[in-house]
Amino acid sequence: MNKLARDDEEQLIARSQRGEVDAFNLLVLQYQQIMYNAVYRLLGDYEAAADVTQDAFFAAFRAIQTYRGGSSFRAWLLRIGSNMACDHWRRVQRRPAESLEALTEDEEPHAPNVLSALASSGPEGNPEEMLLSQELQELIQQGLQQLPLDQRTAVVLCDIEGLSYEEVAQATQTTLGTVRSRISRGRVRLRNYLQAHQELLPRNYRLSNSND
Amino acid sequence: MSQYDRHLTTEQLSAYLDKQLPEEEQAEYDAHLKTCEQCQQALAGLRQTVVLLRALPQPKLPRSFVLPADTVFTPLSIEEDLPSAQEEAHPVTPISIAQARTRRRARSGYGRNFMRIMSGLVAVLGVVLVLTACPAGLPHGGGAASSTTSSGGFSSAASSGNAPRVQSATNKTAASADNQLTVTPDIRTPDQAQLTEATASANQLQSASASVTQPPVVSAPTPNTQQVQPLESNQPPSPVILFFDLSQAPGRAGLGILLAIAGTMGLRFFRRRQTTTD
Repeated sequence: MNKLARDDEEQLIARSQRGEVDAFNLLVLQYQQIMYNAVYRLLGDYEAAADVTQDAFFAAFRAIQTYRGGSSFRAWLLRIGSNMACDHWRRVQRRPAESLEALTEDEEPHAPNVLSALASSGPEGNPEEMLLSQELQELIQQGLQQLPLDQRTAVVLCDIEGLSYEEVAQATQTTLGTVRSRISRGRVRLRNYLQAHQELLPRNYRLSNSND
Repeated sequence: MSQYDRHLTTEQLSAYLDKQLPEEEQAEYDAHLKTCEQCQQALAGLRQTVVLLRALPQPKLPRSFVLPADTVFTPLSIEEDLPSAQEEAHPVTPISIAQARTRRRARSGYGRNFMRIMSGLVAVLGVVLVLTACPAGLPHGGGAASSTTSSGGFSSAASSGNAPRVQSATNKTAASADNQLTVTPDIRTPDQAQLTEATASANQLQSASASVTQPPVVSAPTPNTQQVQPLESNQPPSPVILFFDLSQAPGRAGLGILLAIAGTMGLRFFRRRQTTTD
């Protein structure tokens, strides 16, 4: 979907603030992938992510008049979405998904067929074109879910959704300093988690270890 | 020669990575990194983590999340707050509608469920009463079986012993043609009168029975064992409205029908309130 021109978006927001659902729905179409993505990465559960995403858009429509122009609408939406996702997480208090327990628990060498499956199109030097294997994706997702909620949110918004520090601050209603601190701690913690389990990753995915 | 005696913290490196530092600091760190291998490695580690995160694919949308076309617009006022994370909200922060709805949904789910269960029980109770009334038959009078159900404590002022239950003011009943007023004191089951059903009709009946202390009673034509003091007429002072004599089949049937209706209404009422848009 083409990115809405800023004017168009402002138009849609204004119409939404007058209660026009169809205008708001155009915004939904624009942002639903982003919202769903962020919420999924926060929760690690597709169904829960769908529920929370839907709820978030309803909440956003109801709250649309509280949006002040000039600030990032994306950040405003993600504030609602991430808050609801965090609320959901706290309610559910889920443990890391069992699906990965087999992979991470014993740190044994994996079965050969799985390892060969991991060695798919590797990052032969171009990070932008890196394709992650399913296992690695799951490992990263597990790592995310190990993070405390505030660090997780900061990392998801910044590194996965590409929000600027200012937008992250807006979405989390905190200061730049707090954002910076949470992002850095989240990254480090995630990195430690991945390193602890990297024996399961193929060599070309392994993280450079400063201890090497 | 490095300007720094100590290394950069991860927070500094992280901010450097994101170019979130003022130009001066960015340049300073740049210079330090040129000479410090340890920090270079730390930075590379951070960078790799970020690269991995950015490489995560976007999950496919399971469906469209557009709102239904008939969604009702119930806007928050400007003063109200957006849904905010509970963790950071002060206890005195006014709860937004959306947040309250989220909580309310969680809570009212239970409240609604509870009411639905109660309504169901009331309905079942009513049906049971009706059923016990039927086999007992009219001429029987019920007798000791009057308190089969826990809804004892109700007394009825029927114009005649077998007349259908009358939901009218007590004064009216006194004016009924027949003087066969049967009123059973509810002292034998005072706490049974405290039904847990919270439905309106039950409340009505409860308040009716609760305020009955020592009602003057009229002897019934039926030979039941209750403490009935023979009186010809019902005393006006008792403000109670609804009395059902459970000793008599019609009384039970009447009460049963009433409860069944109330229960059914309650069930429908508490089911219909689905949260659609809000």
